[in-house]
Amino acid sequence: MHRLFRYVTVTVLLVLIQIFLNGYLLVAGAVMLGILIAVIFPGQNNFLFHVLVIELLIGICWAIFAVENTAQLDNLAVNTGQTTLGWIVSIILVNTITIFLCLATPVFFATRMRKDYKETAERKKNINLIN
Amino acid sequence: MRRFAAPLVLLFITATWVVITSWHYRGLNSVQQLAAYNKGILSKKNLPRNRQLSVPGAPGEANISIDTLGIPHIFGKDEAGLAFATGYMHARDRYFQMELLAYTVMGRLSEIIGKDGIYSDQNWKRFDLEEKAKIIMDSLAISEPGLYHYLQAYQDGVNSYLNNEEEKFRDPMYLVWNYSPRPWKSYYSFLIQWYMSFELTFYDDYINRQEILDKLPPSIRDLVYPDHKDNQPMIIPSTEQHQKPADQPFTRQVKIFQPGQPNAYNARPTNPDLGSNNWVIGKDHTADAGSILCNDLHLFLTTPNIFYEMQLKGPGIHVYGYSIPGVPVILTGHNENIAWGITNGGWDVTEQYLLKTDPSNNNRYYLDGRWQTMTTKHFVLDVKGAGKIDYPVKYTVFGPVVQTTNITYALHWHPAQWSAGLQSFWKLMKARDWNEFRQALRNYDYPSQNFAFTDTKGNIGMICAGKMPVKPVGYNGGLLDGTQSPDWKYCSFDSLPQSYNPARNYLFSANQQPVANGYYSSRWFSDLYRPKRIDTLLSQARKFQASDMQQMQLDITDLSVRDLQLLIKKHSDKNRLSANWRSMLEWDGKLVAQQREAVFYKTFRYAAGESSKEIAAMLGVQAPPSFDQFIHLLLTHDSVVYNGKVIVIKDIFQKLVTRCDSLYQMNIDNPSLNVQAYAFSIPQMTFLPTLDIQVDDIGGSDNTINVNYGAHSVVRTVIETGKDGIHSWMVNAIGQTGRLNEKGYSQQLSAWKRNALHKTQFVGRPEELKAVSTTIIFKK
Repeated sequence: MHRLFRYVTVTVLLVLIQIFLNGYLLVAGAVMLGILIAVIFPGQNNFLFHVLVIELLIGICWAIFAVENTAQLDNLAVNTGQTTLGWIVSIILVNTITIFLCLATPVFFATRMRKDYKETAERKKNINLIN
Repeated sequence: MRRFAAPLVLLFITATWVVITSWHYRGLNSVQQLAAYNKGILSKKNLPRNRQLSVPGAPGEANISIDTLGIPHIFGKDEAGLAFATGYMHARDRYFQMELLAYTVMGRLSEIIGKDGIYSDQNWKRFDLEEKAKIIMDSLAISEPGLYHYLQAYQDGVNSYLNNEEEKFRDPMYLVWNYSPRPWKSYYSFLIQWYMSFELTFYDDYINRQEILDKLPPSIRDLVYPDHKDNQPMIIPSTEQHQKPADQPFTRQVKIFQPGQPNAYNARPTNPDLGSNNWVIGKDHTADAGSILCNDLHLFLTTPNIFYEMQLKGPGIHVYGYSIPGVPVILTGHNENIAWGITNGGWDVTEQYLLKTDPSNNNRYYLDGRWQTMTTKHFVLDVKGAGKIDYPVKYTVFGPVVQTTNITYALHWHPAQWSAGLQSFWKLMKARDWNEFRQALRNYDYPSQNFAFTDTKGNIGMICAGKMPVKPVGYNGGLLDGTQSPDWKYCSFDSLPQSYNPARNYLFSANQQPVANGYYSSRWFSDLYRPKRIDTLLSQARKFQASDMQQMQLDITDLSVRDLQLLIKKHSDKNRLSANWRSMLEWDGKLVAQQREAVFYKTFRYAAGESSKEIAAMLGVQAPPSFDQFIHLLLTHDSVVYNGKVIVIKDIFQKLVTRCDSLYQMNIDNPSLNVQAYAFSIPQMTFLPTLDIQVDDIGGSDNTINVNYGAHSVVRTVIETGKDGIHSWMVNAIGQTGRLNEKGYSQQLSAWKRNALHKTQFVGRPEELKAVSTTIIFKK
């Protein structure tokens, strides 16, 4: 499948789960997306790195979206002795880490299982050859 | 399996992260929910500004102009519109606070904050105040129909706001505590009155007092725990005639403690610094031949502050001042004719009755010569995250039963019987002169308050108002006999301490004893220095202006320093004193935050507290003498002989000096402690960590006019009356709104620190207002 199409697909799905889901649903959505990536794009270990970048970009987009809300974040910062940037970065990090971990776990498992399956099949093939 | 080690580790990390970030710690929302882009903190919006809103469906017509400090100026065409608009604004700015207070008093706090609310709920449930509030509300329909309809319209205004509020504009505290606002009910206003009564009147040290009465002979008691306030300035000037209320017939004394018997009672902690200052000066003391009334209210300061500034103008009413969200009346402020300010009376309105229980059946108690059965009521606490808990409470004719390890008593908290405070403030807002002012307070009950008064004609007055229980002859603060049926009586209004246009032409109260007539009204008039300081300043032969009064509210001179100077002279050799102690002798007692003398004195006060505890331990009792009793003992005696032991006062003082030096040195050696006199932090009202606001460089102590210790001047007012009407200046310690994401949350903090009061906009028409940011119009 064309690489650009893959990224567009993953990005759209990431945006959707972040718009419509939160809490446990967000976790479940990210896991499902991880399984989807593992199934549709097998053997793409480095793909997760790109997902992480996409995820961070989405987070930053949310932060920019929140700029119209800067006043409330500035007030939160003043009233809590924190900084506006601190609030934004904290929120982006929580979401990014959650989605990335939930997404990466099934992909890692699928990659290892696939590798395991391939090696087992290779061994069987070699045994057959020796015999 | 080894090849799956890495994914398994990742799985573990993921699971741990998900569990931690999804955890609802102590009833709070999870980090996941708070951080969610679409419904979390980021999705919240500020309330709309610089616009006109139109709200249909109101029971009356009104419009609100909100100025840039967030203060609503409400102009109603009728009382229903006025009440509706007030409810709308209270809900808009403070609904989380209103709801939290009402649920606290109903004993339902754990529904909001989970298990941490159980202790509070158990305390409140036993008074069953939700049911009593409903009864009071129903009774108003007949006794005060005007107020009844006013509270109904207020309820409608609150709920109108809640029903029309979009989620993005909802107070973020609801998100943090993971619940949604529930509808307001008109009778909740009485619950909030009770909350204030509890804060200001509920004491729980009767068993500790009984221990002193039982164990110490009167000679020792008078030495260490003296009642020596007769030479202090009283609220009512000594030149005024005052009638002594009648005493109850003598009730049998009780005795609990034998010599040497330990006292394990864990009294509910109370904040001795809650109180307030008010003073009013007449024509003789003002530069403009009018009168000036000042008020600053001392409470434990949280964000949001409990007071809310507003102006109400409608048919027959035009009033400005501070209300409490949930209670739609002005508690301190002025109308077009009179001004008033309040301080806590601090009267003893709690009674603990020692019960004699049946050893074979602890549901029975001995009363009037026979065994009676206690009634039991089962309450249900619906604890967030923990389900429902049964909470049985036993009752006697006195009230709910409290069982400790070896003492069983019944609790009678007089304010829990009824609530008439709101009704009085309702009338007070419309009063036009001293007679109507008195009439409004005639049925006032709790919390007992000292009401300062002035009017546009320059008259001044003071009424120590409340429903004061008549105490038995000879009562001195312990438990009462629970084997005889109670016969509660109250002092008549006319017998309460009050003064009108006294010869000296000024009046003040600072939570001191109201009058020296030998009548027992309380044991907690312990701050002798603040009243004396106010009296000293007001009695100067000079003419004051409003700006002088603002300066006086900032006064941080602690007169207790003079007693320390006397102590040093009495017990120390001047030539052998260290530099710090020598500096005390020359110091003026101004508690400037960073000043070395002030920090040293603060250390001395702490060390004195520790020495007081040691004296109590030597006497074998739990309650230490108060600071003024401790100082009095050290100043007036050289030794105390008790049980054959001699307590040498000079030794106590020398030990205190050593302790103070050592503590001070420890503070100096550790600059990171940043010890000041006085710095503090203001916690958020649900005590959420990281939301505290730190306040430095403020100075003062618990004995200064500008009180800064366990309590702070949460609002300050200065009101000037004269030929051209009434002018006022006010400041709130924090801000108008309780919304953490609004500018108004802490907008006035800086001004409050400097006591830069803003001039209020007391105007007759909305067109006269300046700096209006938002207008809301209510239509039928």
